[in-house]
Amino acid sequence: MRKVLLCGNPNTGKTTLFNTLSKSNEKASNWHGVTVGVKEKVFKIKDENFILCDLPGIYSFNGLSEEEKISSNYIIENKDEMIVCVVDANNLKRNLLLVLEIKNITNNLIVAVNMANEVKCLDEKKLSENLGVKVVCIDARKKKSVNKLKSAICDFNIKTLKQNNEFSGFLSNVINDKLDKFENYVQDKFGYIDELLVKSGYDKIGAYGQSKLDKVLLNPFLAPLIFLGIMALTFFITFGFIGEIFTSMFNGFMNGVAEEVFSFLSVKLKNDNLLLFLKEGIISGVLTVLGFLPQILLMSLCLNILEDFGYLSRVSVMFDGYLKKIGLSGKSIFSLVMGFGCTTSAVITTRNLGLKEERGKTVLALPFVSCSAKLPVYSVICSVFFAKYKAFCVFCLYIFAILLMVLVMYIFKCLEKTQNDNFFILELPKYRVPKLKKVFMDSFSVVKSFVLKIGFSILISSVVVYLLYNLNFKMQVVTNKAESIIYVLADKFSFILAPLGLNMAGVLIALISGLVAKEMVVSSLVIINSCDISVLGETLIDSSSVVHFSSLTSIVFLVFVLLYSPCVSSLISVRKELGVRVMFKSFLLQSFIAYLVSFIVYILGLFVVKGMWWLSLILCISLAIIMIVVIKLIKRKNIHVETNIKCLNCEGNRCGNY
Amino acid sequence: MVKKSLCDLTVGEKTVVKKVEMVDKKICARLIEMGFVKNQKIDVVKNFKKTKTMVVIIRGCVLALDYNLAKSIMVY
Repeated sequence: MRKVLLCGNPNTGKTTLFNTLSKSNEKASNWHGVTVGVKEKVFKIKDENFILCDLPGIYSFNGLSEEEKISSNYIIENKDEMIVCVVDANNLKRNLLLVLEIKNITNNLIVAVNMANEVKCLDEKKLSENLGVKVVCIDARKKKSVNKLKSAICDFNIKTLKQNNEFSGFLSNVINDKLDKFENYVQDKFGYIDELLVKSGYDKIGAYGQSKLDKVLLNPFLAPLIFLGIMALTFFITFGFIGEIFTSMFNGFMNGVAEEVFSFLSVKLKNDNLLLFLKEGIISGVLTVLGFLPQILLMSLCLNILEDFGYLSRVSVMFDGYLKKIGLSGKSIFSLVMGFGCTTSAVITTRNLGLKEERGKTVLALPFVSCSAKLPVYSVICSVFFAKYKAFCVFCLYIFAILLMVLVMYIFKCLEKTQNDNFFILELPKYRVPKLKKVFMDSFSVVKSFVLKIGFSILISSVVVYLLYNLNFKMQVVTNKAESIIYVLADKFSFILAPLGLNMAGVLIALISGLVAKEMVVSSLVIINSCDISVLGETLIDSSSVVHFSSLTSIVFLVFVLLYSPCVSSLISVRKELGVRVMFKSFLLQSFIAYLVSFIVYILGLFVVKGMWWLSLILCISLAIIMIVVIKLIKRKNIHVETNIKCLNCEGNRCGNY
Repeated sequence: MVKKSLCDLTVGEKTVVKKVEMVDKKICARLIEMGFVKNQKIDVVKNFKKTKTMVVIIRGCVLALDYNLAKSIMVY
């Protein structure tokens, strides 16, 4: 089967074209570095099967980030296959440089000029003649002229005339030996491209990104407020009035289905234990998590609209300076926003960050961004203890975690002996009106992966927790839950949570099961309290329940869940991306911070509950002063180290290489 | 003659690249590939002194870059 490699500069529409050609639904967005690994799919043109490969975006074969290296190595390894280089019609002056570089490696090349309808004038034939390769003008988003590209792929004859295997080697040698030579090479190519575009009658409307909207969204004073407002709106849509309506409608429907299924099973099955197992172990465990699908869908919809609009790139520009102060960079914003959905996929997106240290820091910061799997916990507890201010409370939790992330990362930055500032360069994409169909498809794929996760890990974990909670060490069904395997074990270790006021075996079981998947926290609580999700809240305030909270301990529990270690799949992806050391660092750091912060919250809360709010205030102020003094001392110590280092070129710090 | 870097420019200024001065050759090469080559025209769209970031137009493309990079791009 012939392979077709889709490559090109970042954000030129490769994944959109991949989705159009192969009828897939891979994540594509209006920002740099969405695709971080090679994706392959078989597609058919005129009875012939092809393997379509979507590669991460590259600027050249001089790969700086991990994803760029993956892409350039893949092209070099598959140079005998057909390459479709996707270029943005709005940005031909720079995008064609990569086309010329690929032409040096292989002649098996087709150039797909995407978004061609957005430029005033471009003669496809003349560009093709002057460039010496087949050029097809398309619009992958609107699926225009895609059939023309399909025909071009099908009719293309693989040539073996000119294959310069040494080109990428040549590039790196030139870069390493003499940059002047490289600059001359690029300058010549730019000159050639300019000439080529004039001959092809290329005329574009004007540089994009200079819209009136940028005046507002890139305003130094308004931008942070707008961002905060947009995020608050997202939370109020998800947990406020709209979220409530969808959730109650969906839950009503699901409970009806569950009752029907259960009554059907009651007729068919005579074994009471088996019935109870199916009801409490499987049906209620799965229903618990499914009940939160509307909220997850709403949040994904809001985030996907922001991504497609091109807003996130502006956010990363606005926050680059602030993020640098805590050791991250503007590009970390993309991973951090992805973290609101799923930490595991957000960890993988850190590939588009240049330096390994920067990736490591972003990965350590990610667990502070609360993933959607924790939503059920916040939703249940806030509906019971803070029903009137549910949306506001959840928003405050997210903000609290982000502020804590800023503090922790700032302390890390201060502790660094050498202050390596990251570099930040980002192309600002054109604002685009989000396509509703695409936004819905992307959001549904998030929901789909959530449901699939339930299908495997959560269903199995629910069953395991149920069995361990209903069987004793002799494998007999217990009536007194205190004799069950998991309860006996958890009871022995529940003292660990005593300083947090949570010394209940059930809480420890729920938190440990949350390590498998955060969704499991709520479903475990349902199993432990032997109740239905609809009455879980009521059981949590009932002091006779196995797991029950007061207002204070509910806050402590929320804080602990908000901050404690990411789930196993996230930790595994950290190990894959950055090694075992970073994985353990992330696990230990989050566990320690969750414990420490929950303990502080509990102590402060105790004083408030006992009417000694002034003592609580004094403690807060003292903690803040101690922290400021410690940070200042560390900073002063490190300044002495820094001042001894000077740049060899400019004997100062002008060139930024000190 | 005093060296003038890209971050010394104000919003609306148009200039021409003189040289990219940076020790890290790979990052320098990336800047060159992005269009920062000798005699290339640049328009400054935004310059955020507080957050040390700027937005420029080069070869018809809108690029955001931080001062660490901008101060290594010498202009006329």
